[in-house]
Amino acid sequence: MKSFLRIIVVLAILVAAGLLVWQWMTSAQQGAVKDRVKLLIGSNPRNISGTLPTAGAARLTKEGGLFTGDEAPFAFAAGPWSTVKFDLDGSTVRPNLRFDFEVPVSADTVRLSRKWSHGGERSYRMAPGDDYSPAVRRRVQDVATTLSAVEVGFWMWSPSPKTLVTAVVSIDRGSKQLAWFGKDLPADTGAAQGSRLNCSFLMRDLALEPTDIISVYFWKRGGEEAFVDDIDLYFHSAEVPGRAGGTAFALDSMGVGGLVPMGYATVSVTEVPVDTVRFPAGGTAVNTTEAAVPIGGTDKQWRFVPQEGVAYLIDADGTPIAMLRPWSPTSRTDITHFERVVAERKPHGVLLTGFDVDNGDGTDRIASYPAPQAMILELAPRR
Amino acid sequence: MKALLWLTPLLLLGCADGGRTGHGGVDRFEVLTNWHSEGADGEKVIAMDYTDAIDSGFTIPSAHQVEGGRFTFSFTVTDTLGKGRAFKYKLYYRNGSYKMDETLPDGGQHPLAEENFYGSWESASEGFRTTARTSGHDALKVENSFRIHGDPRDEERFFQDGKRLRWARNPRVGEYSFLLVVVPEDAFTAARIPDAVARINEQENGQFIEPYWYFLHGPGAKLPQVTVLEARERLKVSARPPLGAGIYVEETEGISKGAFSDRCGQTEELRKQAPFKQFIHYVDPSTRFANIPLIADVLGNAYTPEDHDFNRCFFPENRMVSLRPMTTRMPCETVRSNPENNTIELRNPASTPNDLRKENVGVRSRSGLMYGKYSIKCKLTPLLNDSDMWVGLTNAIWLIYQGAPGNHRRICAKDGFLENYYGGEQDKRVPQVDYAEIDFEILKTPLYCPDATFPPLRPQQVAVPGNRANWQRPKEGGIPKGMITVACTNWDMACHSPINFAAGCSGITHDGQTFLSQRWDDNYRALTQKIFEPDAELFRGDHYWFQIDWKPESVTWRIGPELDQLREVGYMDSTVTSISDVQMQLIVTQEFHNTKWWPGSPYDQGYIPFAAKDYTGVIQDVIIE
Repeated sequence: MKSFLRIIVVLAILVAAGLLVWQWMTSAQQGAVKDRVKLLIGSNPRNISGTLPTAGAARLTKEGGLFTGDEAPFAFAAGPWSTVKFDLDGSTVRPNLRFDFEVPVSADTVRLSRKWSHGGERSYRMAPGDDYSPAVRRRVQDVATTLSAVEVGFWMWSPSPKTLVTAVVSIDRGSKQLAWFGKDLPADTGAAQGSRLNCSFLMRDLALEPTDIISVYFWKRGGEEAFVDDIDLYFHSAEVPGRAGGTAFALDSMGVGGLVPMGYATVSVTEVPVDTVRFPAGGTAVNTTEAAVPIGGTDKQWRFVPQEGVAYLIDADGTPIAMLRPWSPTSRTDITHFERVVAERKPHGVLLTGFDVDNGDGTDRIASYPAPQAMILELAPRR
Repeated sequence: MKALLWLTPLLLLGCADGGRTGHGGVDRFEVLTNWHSEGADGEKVIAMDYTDAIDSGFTIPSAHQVEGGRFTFSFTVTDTLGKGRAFKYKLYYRNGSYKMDETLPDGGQHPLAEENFYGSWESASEGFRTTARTSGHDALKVENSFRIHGDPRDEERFFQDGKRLRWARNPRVGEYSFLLVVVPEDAFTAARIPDAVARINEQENGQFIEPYWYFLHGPGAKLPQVTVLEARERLKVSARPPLGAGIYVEETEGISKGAFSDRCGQTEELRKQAPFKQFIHYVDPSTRFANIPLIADVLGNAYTPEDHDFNRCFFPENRMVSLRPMTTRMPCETVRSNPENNTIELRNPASTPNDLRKENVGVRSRSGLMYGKYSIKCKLTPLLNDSDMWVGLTNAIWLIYQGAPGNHRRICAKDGFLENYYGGEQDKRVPQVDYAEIDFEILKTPLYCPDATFPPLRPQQVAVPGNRANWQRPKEGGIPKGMITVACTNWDMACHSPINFAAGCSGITHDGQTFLSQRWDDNYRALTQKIFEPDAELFRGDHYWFQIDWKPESVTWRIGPELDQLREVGYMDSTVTSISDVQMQLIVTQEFHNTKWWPGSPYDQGYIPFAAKDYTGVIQDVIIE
């Protein structure tokens, strides 16, 4: 009996001490403890109901969006950012998704509602009994080259002030959960436009494998319905995928005979009317001129390969000797920012015509917006 | 009749008007009788004289302002007993604008009251002076003089290498009052005025006794035959450093003197009198960044956000140049003191193809002050061009600890301070540090609060040409066009003592306005508030005012087009952050920050071109009051 009492006393002291420590903790520390406890007792908000789209399941739509291969309501991602992709070693990286729930006619609308929306007509309705949304699930290699952060942003409204919606990112390797991130958004019933939550979950020192699974979903509490709209989901790589690798050299290591950063050649840029006969809006879009083009009046050449991102001044030997910035002070644009740039020799300089491309009918056509632009670039004496 | 006289209360407390009818036989107490400069409200005013402030600290008045360098005061005293006694007297002065409460609820001296700036005779160890003997019931006119100077208690902590460093505890700006204490000589011993009150260099139980507390609220308020009079005259002290008086350059090993002149450099005259020196930034190795090797007139609209996004996505990494923000190669080359219009010019130099530079430029005041309302009138470089592209500069107006001997922040009772500015999270915690900083930093960066909407989200770019969506980042949800961010920061070195110390975002209300403060975590050394303001209003006009109102218990940040049209943009008090209590100096800079310091910034410093033209800012006036 005595030892039982001792145990009770010890337990009481432990509980009291725990309560005291709890009081001293910051809310962030309390949150971390709660999450650990949830993980320990197996009741962590971990939803695995979402499908893992197979490679190549995603396909573009005529409307400019993307069928993602995910379970509804995440089967359709809207807007040009959702179509961005980068092909790497035979796999495709799609780092950005936006769900505005303004879906094509053919899409599943069963989880959508017109009762409230932040923009457009529809939003995703989490019914009173839905504790979790379906998950958007991806292999790491399908969203990033080296995953550095996952960003989630969304608007939410609920008629009940008790509603709390948490954006959750879970990373799993097989049955093992490697990491769990969450950020809460309490409902503000008075905010007709809803409330916005942005989250950036940094991967920091997580040693992720390409096949680790990221699941992104919403966890709702409060027992009432909630509406979620305009979800942004961005998977960030440590570096812009596709940027040419290389080792930058230190400016302070410059010296006689040492490395010298390649500077920009001084140029003169004059805007000229676009030859609308050859480059009509809606006309077939020719490819960018990637071969070196002589610059009239000089023994130098213009070369712009879009993958290199910058235009080069090439000498007679074919060696890049400077960079070129075809920037028009008139329109304050750099013509290499267009999706296609066609270059042609002129008696003095080189004529550059730039345009963006539309592909609504499956054919690359010259876009009307932004309007095509043309300029003559001439070399100018260096300052 | 004599009995009646005895009944007359000899003890009078509080604010007895000087020059009026007698109290305990003391009459016509007048101070500043040789100083007649008055402000608009009729109060006497004086500006600190910078002439000898570097070596000797400020003295009020200086010998240049008043012959002999002393204020005079006078009073009359009558022996109400007609015995022709002599009297003991002492004059105290105290800064009232920046003082701690002197009295605890129980009437005792507040433990922080000893920090108040008060003084008396030139030598702190001198006690009460004695008048000549009076004659019968005739009034005796007593005249004497004093001055306000640094380290008025002659403290050991300001005595180094055989020298008293009065500049290490300079007089405070603000309003001074004057207290006269008079005791009949034959009653002085019986009054038992503590030594630590009579001689202000002395302590009692390890603490200085604040004389205003002692005589107005403490035991001295009840002493028989002790007359205490507070003068009607007050003195308002301000500082207005003469910006045209040159810029000094500290001696540094290997320094180039090629740009020195008689207005900027190391002449003895500048060493003694220049109120500012060139501020050479400490550039931490962590600030290194790779930069696009492009020189462009960003302010002249030769670079756009689109250019930035494109280059960030496509510009080859191996063509970037790796560098740190630079400091001047030749002091005086990029700062200029202009005596004609009494201004200081800061110039971040343009780059040339063979000299790519992002150079930080600034000046730092040389005299330290504790507390004050710092109003800076300036025209600093605009930060945005017409397309909303940021030039990469951070305009900063800040106060930084002087590092003067004997200046340590008050003990942080709860957990201590983190010891080092650059110490990281594992830094040791110590009871006291010297470091303090209060900032205006103005740049293009998002608000951190409310934390529900931080950080602004931006899609991942991919370096695949042929689709503008691959690289051009959407603008929605960002900082409104034309707006820059005024960040107000107090570096409290993560002292946990304030009762509302908190990490994350929390609100504090002042004058009906709620300011959201942000701290990354419990070990983050600074608390920041941010607000969007129009770049054109702050930096495209003739001038703009920035004010840091640093008080013992609060800091308020204000800005506005004119000094009488300021608005609050930041407020913190000692319930949320530890307020600096060491002497600080003013710094004005135009600097290039690594944008990693400012999470969520829409522009990456590395993709902002080098300046094709100088970025010039002008400090037009500095008023500290």
